[in-house]
Amino acid sequence: MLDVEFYGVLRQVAGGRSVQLEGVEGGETVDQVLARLRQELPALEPHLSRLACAQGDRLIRRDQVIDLQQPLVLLPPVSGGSGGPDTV
Amino acid sequence: MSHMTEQPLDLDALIRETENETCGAMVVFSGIVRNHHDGRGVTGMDYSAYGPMADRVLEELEAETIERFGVQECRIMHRTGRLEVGESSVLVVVRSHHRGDAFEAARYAIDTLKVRLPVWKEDFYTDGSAAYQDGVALQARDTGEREP
Repeated sequence: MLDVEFYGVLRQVAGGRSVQLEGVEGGETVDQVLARLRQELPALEPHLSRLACAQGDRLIRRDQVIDLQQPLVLLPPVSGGSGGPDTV
Repeated sequence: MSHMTEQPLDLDALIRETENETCGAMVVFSGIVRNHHDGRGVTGMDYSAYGPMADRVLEELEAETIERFGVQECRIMHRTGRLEVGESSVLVVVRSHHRGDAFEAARYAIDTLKVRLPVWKEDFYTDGSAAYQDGVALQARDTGEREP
């Protein structure tokens, strides 16, 4: 089992802050987990191409193997600071 | 040293923290919640962050800015939670021997923050609706490579 956490607009899309994915096995990559998630939550599909993934305090690539001991964190496009992304 | 807070940002505290008698220039950037976005009236914003990563990103960005521009001091603080129009969401304070480096470094720090910091803004509009602002795909440090 793997905890998957959502941030930003993904919380609205997923309908909550996190889900638990059953059946995830050691050695699976981020891409493989996202494929499972796509089946569980089809509403995420339009967002998957632009989101970043993290475990702990680091971004991880799609081809990296998941650490089952830590949540997989899904991070949509960011908009920190002030104003829109094109204005500061 | 904290970099993320739910409390109103304290510019005086950052100015005190960065005091350095070798510096002849100090540049302060403050990002402020404005009353409009994309042609719509805005009454406030909610800033949310992925905390474990956000704090590390800002700490590393401060060090990177100092090294890259040869400035003496750089401090960055970002606020989260509900902010009203006119409130400051982010502060960047840079001090250097001369003004040119301080201006360039402060610009780099805020521009880089906006593509590396895991923070999201939800606008509250004057018509009662709310929506997350779209942004840019999060980038990792060093490679500049987009994730994914």
